Amino acid sequence: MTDAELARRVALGDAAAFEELVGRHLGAARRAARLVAATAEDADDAVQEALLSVWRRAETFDGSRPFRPWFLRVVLNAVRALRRGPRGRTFEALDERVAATAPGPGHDAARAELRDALARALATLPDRARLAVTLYDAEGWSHREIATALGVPEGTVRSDVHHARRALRARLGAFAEGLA
Amino acid sequence: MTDEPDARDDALGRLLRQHLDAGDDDALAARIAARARATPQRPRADELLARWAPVGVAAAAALALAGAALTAAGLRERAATAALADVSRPAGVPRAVHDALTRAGGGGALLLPVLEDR
Repeated sequence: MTDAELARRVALGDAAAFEELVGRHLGAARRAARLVAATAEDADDAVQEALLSVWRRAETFDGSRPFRPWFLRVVLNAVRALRRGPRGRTFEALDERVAATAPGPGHDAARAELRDALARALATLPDRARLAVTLYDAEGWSHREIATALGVPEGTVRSDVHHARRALRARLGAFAEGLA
Repeated sequence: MTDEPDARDDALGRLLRQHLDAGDDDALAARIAARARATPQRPRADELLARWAPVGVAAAAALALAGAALTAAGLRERAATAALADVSRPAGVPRAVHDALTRAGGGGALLLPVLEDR
């Protein structure tokens, strides 16, 4: 079943369809939100609010358009709302946010070093470039989908991905050679 | 890493996913599902219509009744005015002349008895 069909069912109150949509998009939404939210906790709060908005207002989704760019816009709007919110959370550095996502036991020092290097490299990029390169290379989105989600022309997305890769390569230095 | 604009950089993609993965998606998904079950959806247009239809019908009926009452009152007032005009019009003065003089002002009406005397 396509996302659009699931969204149509959600609009009719189908809780199982909603859970299916959540399962499909939760991971990517959390990763994208972590790139732009103040904290990891804020990222999860934003994703949760975005998904509950979908549950309450699924009928506002235009089924003739792709679901995931629309949903990512809802997520990014939720992140912005949290940034403006009354809680006034401070914006911690991206490397702290990413470092807070513990990779689990058994990771070695080299992996930790690589993780920290990548976090610092990502922190030097603007939000849009971080999102563009992550959505393209990590999530497998098309340039068009990313352009729709971010509200910019496709050419801008291509440029953002290109420049973000170059910046990451320059910042990762020796680690980048290992990735080649 | 790759410079090809349309090629995926799989190595970088894997690295980014590892770094950004929060883990435990299932727990968050369960929390969201539980909140959704406790959250009413916004009513759809047809539900809203069904909910407000009796109120709409009642309002329309009230408006129709009020309109009918106003129309009836207007008709009664017009009939009374016409009857009064007939009573106040001196004998022998044509209605058209009387109406024209009345519209022209009170002075015209005052002259009617003079006209009548002629």
